[in-house]
Amino acid sequence: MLERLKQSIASCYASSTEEDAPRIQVVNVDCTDLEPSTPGETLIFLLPLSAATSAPFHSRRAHYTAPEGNDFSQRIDDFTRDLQVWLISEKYLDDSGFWSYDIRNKINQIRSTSGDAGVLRPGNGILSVSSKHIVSKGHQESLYFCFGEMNILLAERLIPHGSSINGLDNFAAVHQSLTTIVEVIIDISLSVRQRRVSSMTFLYVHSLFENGKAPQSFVDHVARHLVREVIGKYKMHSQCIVFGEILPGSVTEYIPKGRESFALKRCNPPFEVILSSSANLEVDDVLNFPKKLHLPPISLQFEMHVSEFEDTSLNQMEPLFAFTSPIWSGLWSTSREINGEQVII
Amino acid sequence: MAVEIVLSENRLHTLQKNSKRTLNDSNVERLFGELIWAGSPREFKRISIFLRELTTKGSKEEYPCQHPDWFDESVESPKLVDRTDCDFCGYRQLCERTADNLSVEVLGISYAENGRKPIPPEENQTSLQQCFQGTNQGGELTVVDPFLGFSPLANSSRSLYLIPYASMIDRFPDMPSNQILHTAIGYDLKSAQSIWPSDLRILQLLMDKSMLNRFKKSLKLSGRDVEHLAQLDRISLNDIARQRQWNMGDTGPDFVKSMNSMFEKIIQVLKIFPEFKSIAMTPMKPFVDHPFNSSGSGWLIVAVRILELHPQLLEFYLQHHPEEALFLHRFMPNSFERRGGLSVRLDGEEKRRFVPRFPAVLLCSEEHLQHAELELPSCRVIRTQLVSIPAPCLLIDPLDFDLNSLQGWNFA
Repeated sequence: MLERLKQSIASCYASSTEEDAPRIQVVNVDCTDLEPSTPGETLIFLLPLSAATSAPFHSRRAHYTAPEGNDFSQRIDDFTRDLQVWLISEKYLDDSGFWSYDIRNKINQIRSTSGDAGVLRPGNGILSVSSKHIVSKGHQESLYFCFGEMNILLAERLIPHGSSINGLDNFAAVHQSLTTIVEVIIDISLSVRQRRVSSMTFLYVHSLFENGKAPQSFVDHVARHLVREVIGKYKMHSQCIVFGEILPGSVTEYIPKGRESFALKRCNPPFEVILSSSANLEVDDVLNFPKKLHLPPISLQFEMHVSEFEDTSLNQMEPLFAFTSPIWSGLWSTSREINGEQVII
Repeated sequence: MAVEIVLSENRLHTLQKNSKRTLNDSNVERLFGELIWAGSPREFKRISIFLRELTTKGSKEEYPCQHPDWFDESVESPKLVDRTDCDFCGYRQLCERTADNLSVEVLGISYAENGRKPIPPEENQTSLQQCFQGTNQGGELTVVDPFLGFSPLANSSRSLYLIPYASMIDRFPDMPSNQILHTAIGYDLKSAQSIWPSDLRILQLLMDKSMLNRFKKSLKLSGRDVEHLAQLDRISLNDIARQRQWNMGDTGPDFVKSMNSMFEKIIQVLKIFPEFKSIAMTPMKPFVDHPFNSSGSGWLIVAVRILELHPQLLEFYLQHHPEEALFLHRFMPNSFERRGGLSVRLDGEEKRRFVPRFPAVLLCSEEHLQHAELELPSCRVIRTQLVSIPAPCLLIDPLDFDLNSLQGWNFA
């Protein structure tokens, strides 16, 4: 099924004029060292569902070995070091030990929630911008370094009426000693903004029937759904897809207890079921779905989105399903988590 | 006992007793701090030489230093050093020897209650070794640190813990029985429950004694001109009550009336304090920033979490609002009170303590797999390793946290 889904996903992109073709790789073994995506690339890994038991390990390992992240770390370290030297020389700092630890920690917090782009985004941690309207000239903006008790003016710029400026462009240091630091800030900010957006999607796939049983049109339909709704929507994402057959009226569990059913404990809402046909189905067949698939109990608190593939030729067959849901990938795009797992009180 | 896994060679051997020396000189810590922010290579070298002088005192002199020239020493007769010298060397990240010396020590511990016994790491060396094995896309075996991206100390020498799965559940129970834990960020030993991102800000206020006293004072006097809960909050509170099995899942009209009345008063008090306003007004994502599948107001979430994180407040409230007796008799004995009692027994002290949710590798045989969970109250399973082991175990990275300091643990 991994190979079939790969072909279907590839055909979706081939028929699209808008999207660049992604790199799609089938990984049959529990591979730990996956080649990360290059800038601008959409990378899709297809793995067996059993490997989802280690899904956070896969995604974070790929994320943390990506060369662009390491380069950013080095540059931001150099910047904080230069800034610290300046702060000490200007008597803003006397005890540098804790400051350096704290600022690194803060930067890690921002990176874990907002990514590299968040670090030098004004108002998001260590920089802020204030704006003053000057009627005859335009907007006078001031760039501040804000951390702890510090709120130090670094640079200023004037945005004339009718013109626009991107990011931190055109900021000029307010003092000669700050010129290099401000240039570095602008340079790092620009390099992050200019990065071509790359994405990595891990698809954990399982089929509960023989490979040839699913009609190609149904697999293509599921692939189209994944391309439209899942792939490339996030920088890093993991998703599970389970193909199976619904036996109307049967109480038999869909998936035997084993590594695959254990892996389904990683599933998170929203849950989606795509049916090949609902011709012979009763409501109970759909309602009992979460239980029969051994989904985690949280599935009972969420509505499961059910859709039907509109191909009447499939009405003659036993109804098939494709269940899909996100899997926690070990990254935190929506929470305020601190540096991965650390709780600091 | 413990085992040491040398990551550079993927070779496993039993740790020799006292294989590493203890450095008691406080200047070592200071010099390390200075090293990180040395302004020039020359300054870095000067500090490294000082550091070397301190660490080589009492060295076991096991092998010659790889780069004596970095310290302006003779290359012809290099100084003999040991593992401890290399671990504390200023140039350790540049030296080839670091890769050879990279190792993790695995200590076996267990929760002492209920006759739980530690699983000795030295008897499960092959299983442990598999945790550090990987495969590249060419199918070749590689050595990996499974905690890369989860621990700031990944890819450096450190200690890990091997803890029986059952022991971890016993030691860190989740009293509210949360169904979804993957977004929890830490664990509160006092109230024996996982904590979420929004809890951090609530706890910071609750741990401020003067703030807590002011809150209690207002709570005592609350009850006049109370605003009714909005429709959305009422629905949300009912959902939370069902999720938490308050009142044993019974949501009769008396209980609902009593519950609504109590939370109306608590929210009224919360609104007096601007400190809580910033928390309540922050957008919160259900099951991400708090443990509820709720779309109620931030005030409601703060009110519920305050009672859950500081159960004594419920008792205090009920003392001063006896009209909520229904709540007292049906709800409290089954939930909050027990939680406080358990935490006191676990810790043996009143001081509030928190631990992070540790990243863990689950070592488990296929037959035991179905009884395990991937998200535990105080740790998250990041990788699963199917191995032949008598009982499911967790290999935990303590995130530089000293698990020895927690009472109730036995060391193998």
